[in-house]
Amino acid sequence: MNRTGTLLATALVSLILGTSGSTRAEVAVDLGIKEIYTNNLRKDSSDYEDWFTTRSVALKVYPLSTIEVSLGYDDAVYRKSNELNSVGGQASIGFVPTSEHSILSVYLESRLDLRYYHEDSRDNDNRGVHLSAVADFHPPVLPMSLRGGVIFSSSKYPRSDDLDKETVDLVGGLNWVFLGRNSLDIEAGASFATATFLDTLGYDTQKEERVVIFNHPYDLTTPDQLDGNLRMFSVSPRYSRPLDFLQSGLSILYSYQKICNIRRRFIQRPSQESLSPWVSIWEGWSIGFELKSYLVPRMIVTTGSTYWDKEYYSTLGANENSVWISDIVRMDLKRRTFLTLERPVTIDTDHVLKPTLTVDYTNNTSADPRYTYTDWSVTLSLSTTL
Amino acid sequence: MNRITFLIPLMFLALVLTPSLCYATDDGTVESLEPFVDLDGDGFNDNLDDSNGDGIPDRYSSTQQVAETVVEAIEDIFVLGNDPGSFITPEPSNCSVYGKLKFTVRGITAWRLGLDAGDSFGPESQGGGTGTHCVGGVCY
Repeated sequence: MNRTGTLLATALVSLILGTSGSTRAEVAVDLGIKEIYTNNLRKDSSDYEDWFTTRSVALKVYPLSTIEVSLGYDDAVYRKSNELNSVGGQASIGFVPTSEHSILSVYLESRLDLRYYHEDSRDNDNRGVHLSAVADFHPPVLPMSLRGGVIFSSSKYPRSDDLDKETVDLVGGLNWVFLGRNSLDIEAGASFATATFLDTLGYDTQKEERVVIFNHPYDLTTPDQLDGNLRMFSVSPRYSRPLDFLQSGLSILYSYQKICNIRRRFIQRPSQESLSPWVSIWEGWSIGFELKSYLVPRMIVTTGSTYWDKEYYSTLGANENSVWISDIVRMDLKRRTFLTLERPVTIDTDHVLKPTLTVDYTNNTSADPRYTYTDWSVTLSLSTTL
Repeated sequence: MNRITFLIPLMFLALVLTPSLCYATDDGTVESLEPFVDLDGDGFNDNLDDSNGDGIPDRYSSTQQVAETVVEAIEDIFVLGNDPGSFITPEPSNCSVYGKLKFTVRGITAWRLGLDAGDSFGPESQGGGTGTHCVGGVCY
């Protein structure tokens, strides 16, 4: 991890030094650092507290007025959970081929990313490719806009290929302003992910638990494994408007998502479960609000609260010798509330420092007792663009 | 419970119908020459001017003391006067133009749905942005 981080940092510094000699070097550098405390890092009944620091730097180059090339580096260091330490690198190209005053806006992006973990979690090392093509149509005579697009993501785990994940999201939305300054935004999407399913379940009388039936001995390559697509449909309306008497803006958000092939189950590695891309697949609904205010001089105060009703997609745990399944379907009722205080500091006409403090509280009640928990977290962050 | 289920839609209707039929602010000034649009979902008009890029729209900074920056304050002590004609407006840089183009696609660069959306919630989930500031070809 240290060698890779050094290489990435060296490449970034070289690029900065290489371009800084240009008389019209169009370069921007984003810097960010966060210090986070949580009294429940794993978001379960273990109540395991920890501090961790994340740092990020991104170099953005503008070879043309329609293109942004970005190279980024970030790392995370934990005080106690050293096995979760990681470094990451990102490279992306964003392209806006349409003009500022066009009624059609198009955005194309391709991004590569890498993440390497501490030697105790190397199984979760991964690399990803993300491609998106999205467009927004906003006719001048109507107070509305239509948008849509397709997003492809592929995450590969060289040391744990059963974690590999490929998703395609088809998304669309409508934004409508009515009765002055009321805004209704409706977004809908269909998502597809490649996954490996196991359909056959039986009961092991000796272990007194449900297990997958294999040919003797336990064999994970039986025909019981089926490749297929996880399919999910989702829709989310959002209402927002300003509240002038409070110098604030209010938004109310509802979301609903449904998995369309619930009867099948798929394999997930149980170790370092929180790092698996398959750990948080759920269906259900949520409703919440956010209030953003400029009432306090020179500060941006944002607060909000959301309630979720979720049923997690049933997964299988697997190790070298057996496959097991929990009889308890994880169904959660979750409430989360946050308060953020941002105090931008203008250094000069072109530099703004943004220190931010966020306090976050979560209360989760689950049918699976392992996931009934509360969590307090405090985040202090500082970001700027040079 | 019946009273609550009756009151909630009534309160929502009152919120929607609260006078906002024009873009005039409480002090009579016009909020913005641009039409109202809220693609980033924070409740504010995305077209509000923010000349110093600190994330606080100018109309919410005008009632506050607009403090000079430290650099400007020092410069004002030592510079006896500036001839406006001596300033040459730099040509728009690629960075500043890209920032304006990126503003036009703020509604489509961040989606709240999808398999990877997770529990995105809070300011980071709003997405959007107003680009960067650039001077003389160097972007900040």
